[in-house]
Amino acid sequence: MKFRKNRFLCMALCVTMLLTACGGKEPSESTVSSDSGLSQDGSSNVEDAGNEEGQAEGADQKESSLWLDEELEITILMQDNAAQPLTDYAPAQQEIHRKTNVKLVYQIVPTSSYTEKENVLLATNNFPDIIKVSAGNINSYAGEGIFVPLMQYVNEETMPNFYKLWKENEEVLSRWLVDGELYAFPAIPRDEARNGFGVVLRTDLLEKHDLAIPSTFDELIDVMARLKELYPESIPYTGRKGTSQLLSTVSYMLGSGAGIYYDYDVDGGRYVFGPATEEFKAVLTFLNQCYERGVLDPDFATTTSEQLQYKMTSGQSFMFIDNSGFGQNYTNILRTQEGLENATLQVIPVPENSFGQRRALAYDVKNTGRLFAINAKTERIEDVIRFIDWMYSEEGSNISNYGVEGVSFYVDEDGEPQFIEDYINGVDDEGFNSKYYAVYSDLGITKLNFSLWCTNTKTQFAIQKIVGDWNDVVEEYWEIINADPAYVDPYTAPSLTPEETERVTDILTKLTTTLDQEYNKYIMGVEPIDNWDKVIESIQADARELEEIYNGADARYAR
Amino acid sequence: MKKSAGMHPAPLAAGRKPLTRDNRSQVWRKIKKSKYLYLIFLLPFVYYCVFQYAPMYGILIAFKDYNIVKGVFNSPWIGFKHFSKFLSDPYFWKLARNTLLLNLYNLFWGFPVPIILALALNEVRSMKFKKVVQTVSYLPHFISTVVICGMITNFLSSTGLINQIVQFFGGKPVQFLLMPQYFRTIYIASGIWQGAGWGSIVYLAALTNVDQEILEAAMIDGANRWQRIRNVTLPCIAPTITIMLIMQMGRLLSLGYEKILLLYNGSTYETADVISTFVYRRGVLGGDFSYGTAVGLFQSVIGLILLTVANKAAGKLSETTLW
Amino acid sequence: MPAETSSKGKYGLVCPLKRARGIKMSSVKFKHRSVGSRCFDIVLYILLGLVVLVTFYPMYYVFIVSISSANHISRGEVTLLPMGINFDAYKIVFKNSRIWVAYGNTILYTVVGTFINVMMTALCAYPFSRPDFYGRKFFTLFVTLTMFIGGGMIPLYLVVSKLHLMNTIWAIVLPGAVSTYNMIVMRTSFQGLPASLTESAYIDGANDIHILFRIVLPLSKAILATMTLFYAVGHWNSYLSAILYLDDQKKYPVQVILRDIVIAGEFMENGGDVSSSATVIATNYKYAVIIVSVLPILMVYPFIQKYFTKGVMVGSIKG
Repeated sequence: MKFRKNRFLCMALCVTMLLTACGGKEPSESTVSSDSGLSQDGSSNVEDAGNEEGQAEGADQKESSLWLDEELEITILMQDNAAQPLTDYAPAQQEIHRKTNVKLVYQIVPTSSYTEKENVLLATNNFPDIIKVSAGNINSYAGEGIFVPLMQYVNEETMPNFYKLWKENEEVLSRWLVDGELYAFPAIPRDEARNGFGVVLRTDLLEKHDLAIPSTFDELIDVMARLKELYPESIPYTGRKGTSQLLSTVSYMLGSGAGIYYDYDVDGGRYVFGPATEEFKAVLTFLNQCYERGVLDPDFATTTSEQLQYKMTSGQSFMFIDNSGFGQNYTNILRTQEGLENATLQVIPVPENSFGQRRALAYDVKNTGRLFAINAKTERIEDVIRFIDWMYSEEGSNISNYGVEGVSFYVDEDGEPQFIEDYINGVDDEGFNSKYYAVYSDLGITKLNFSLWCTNTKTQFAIQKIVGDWNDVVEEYWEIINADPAYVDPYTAPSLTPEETERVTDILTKLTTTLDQEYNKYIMGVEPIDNWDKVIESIQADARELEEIYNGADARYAR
Repeated sequence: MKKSAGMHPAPLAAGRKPLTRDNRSQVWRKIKKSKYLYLIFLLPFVYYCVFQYAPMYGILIAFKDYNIVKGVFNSPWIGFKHFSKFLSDPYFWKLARNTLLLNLYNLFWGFPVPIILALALNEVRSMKFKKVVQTVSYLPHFISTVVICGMITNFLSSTGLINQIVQFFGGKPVQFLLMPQYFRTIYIASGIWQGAGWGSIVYLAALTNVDQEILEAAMIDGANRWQRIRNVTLPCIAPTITIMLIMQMGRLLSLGYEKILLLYNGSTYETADVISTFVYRRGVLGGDFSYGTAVGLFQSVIGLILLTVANKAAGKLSETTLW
Repeated sequence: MPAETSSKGKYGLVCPLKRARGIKMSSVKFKHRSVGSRCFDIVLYILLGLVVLVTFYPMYYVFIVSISSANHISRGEVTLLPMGINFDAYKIVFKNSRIWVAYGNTILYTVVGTFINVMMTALCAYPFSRPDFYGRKFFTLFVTLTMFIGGGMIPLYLVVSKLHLMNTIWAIVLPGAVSTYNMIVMRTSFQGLPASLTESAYIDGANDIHILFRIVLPLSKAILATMTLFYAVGHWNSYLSAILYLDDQKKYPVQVILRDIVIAGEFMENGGDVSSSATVIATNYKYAVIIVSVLPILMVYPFIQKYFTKGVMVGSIKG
């Protein structure tokens, strides 16, 4: 008993110590910043030289716009990725070290357990200098003193590069502000291509059987039903991850939405809980039609990503409605492995739904959702900030997205970075999904690495073009997507207060549990669609409350 | 004396009788007699204190509005709010029922299989065959749940092996994974498939303690194999079976979410949605430490009660108990 | 000491006796072996044969997929035999240099961890198996409670951190040093040993430490083997404590590196990504990873099996 008491004391003590450590940081931090302010002035000859125009002055020492006289080691907690494994001190990080005298050390945590590690490290205030942190945790820890508050640095003088990007994207990026303060640097996309959920089908089969590209969802069912007649063994339409994914992919296009979502077309734009609306019946009707006519995979409720790939690449299925980009990879496999030279899985312009709308949600390309917070205990904050700003510069971005200048890329006459073909071709891609992931992993570059002004698709396209993965299907794909006016950008979600979050969690858990049990019945036609009114009735109150919370938060945010 | 109070459950003794001088010296004698046992137990005791009891204060967050920043101690108390939240939810009782039923069915079907397998292996005379069966039967334990569930889904799909068999006999394909009435069977059968061989190891170890002489005597007395199994072998491993059963009882209200998550869908919630999957779904929507901890604590307390009851019952029926 | 020699003597005696009887028995029995007994054998062998078929399939399937070519897999043709046999997947797995280091770590953690586990579990189980252990009931409750109530990840992390175990092997092997469940199983097994053994040792003046190491443990090889297996497999498959307590990637065990590959796309949401090729990882590669990560630990069982069959004939000691 006594022992336990002691333990308690011990724990209490160490928690207090931690708290005082955080609390005590605040004053000392300000001293640090003023200190570094001085030192910045003192040693600023280097930086200023780079920043202003003194190329000549800087050139003898280094050709970078940032050089720290004293080496700075920054440890970062990074999330690994199975498709693009990270390595510590890859060529891009070596180049950064060479150019800026900043050594990045990665602590790499596997994706599947990153959240646990992040939560534990934050809760115990044991995290390294920089941590990739979730938006939720930013909200919970805001103002608690464990992250460096960043707004003080977001200005023309201290962070010229970041400030420029911030201003350009302020509308989107300000969603990361908590009570007007910024606690983490967002990775900002650099010229990203945009796509979203779309209808992808075997256009070669349509051509072969003289079927026109469907322009409405009704026609889509007809075309697929026709293919089912022609190929009785086939499963024309399939998906991945069961019913919920099926609904979230088609709902918006069909005039409603899965769960709580922002509908631009309702009352000039507001949050709506899709399943509780009349329009949602159109979604269920569409899927039910597909099911009844043998178009939809009878195993639709239990599909997995793997099965989607199998069915599409073995020629068993002809259509999916999901991330339309998957089609390119599947087409490749169909052509190379199955020997179907003409096989083409191509996206079609978003068909018209039963309300006469053509609409689809694009992926959020203005926001990567990757946030990096700085530990308040980090030393030499000013230098870290300067380095971070450099990462937002063209030079920093080129290195962190293209690798080593003169080795893996060069800058062309327009000032654009271009990969060096020989280097790309020399990268071994065995064991990778694709060449570009191999290159990303090899060089330590792009969005999934530590890149703050980051590319993903731009570099991907460049690499695909070099290695010959870029074919007419891909070309046509982007033409169709870019020409389709149906795609709209996702609405920037407002941040909820903790009380609201708790309430939303309660309601949503209840609603999804109820609804999950209903969907399949209506899709399979066990229940006639008219009975959905009863479902709406039963969830009406909760749905309204949810909408109110969201619209209320949105109004607050819009102000 | 002081030392004894520190090491020992003086309160236990005190509860029975006032500590007279006689009594005290008796206690002291007992302690002294067990001194080597205490010495042996010292290391494990330290382990339990440091790694099990020291962090246990974390359980307090079940009664708190846990704020990760404020930490366990400084988060505000809210008492039983989390408990009343889920206990007053009618759906929660459905979850509890599903969890309990799934576990009970598993107890009924799944618990005896490893025992039977071990007994069967014990009857095999060919050493080679025995080794092969033993080694092969435990293999599925090593395949991750994700892969096993993928295989189950494939077998049970509308064009899968099972439906091919059904069709061969003139039946219509059945959507097994969409029908609540099949879920428990699928879950438990696949559990046996994956775990029976692994589970039998404990009993195989216990079987090595079977008294060969008695067995031989029984044989000479003309007992047939059934009788030998029933009257000699089984009683020998009964303590192990009892203990395993008691511990299973303690887990009747807990069930991992991983496998269910991979096998269920909205259509089968009726029988498949259990406490852990619900908490998981809720957790995905918004991390809520306190809620999860409160549910976990509830499960633990019920488990502990069930364990105690089972232990009492075992004490009545046999000599084997947990404590 | 005397107890030990006597047990040895008995063991020596029992063995030939048993063998002799065994031979006699089977010859006698063959004659008189009733129809019932023969039917029993037939049913037994058929049933166990079925068990072998059914339980062999998953591992076999994983293996044949891992050596088949992608197009056969995606057409669903690989069910009984590998198609388009190739070992590319394995080449890829082994090209990953991190795997070799991680293997070394896993073996180290498993060996050290299992040793500590088995030792600690025995130390804990033995006193609990002794009826004269004063306070046994209390301590058993004390220990059993931990099976149900735990403080969770964060408090434990703080303890590990306060003890300065972070980023060392001890953070992996110490926090789970005793599994209460296993301990109780072991205790039950110890209780099955004849009391006369320890009593006679007591009379001869042996103390408990002596009895545990010289009498109880040598007679409990089967349960020790079982525990070794349980703990070793547990260490082999564990990943979360490594992820939480280790910062240095070079110290990661093999599961940490391979797990993401196996479960990619199952629990993780891959959100809105423009990239064309999702994170569907080739199945043959995935399954090769499973084989690679599991094979070494599978090898342990056959070695341990001999302790199940050659169990010491404890009962005969009584005689």
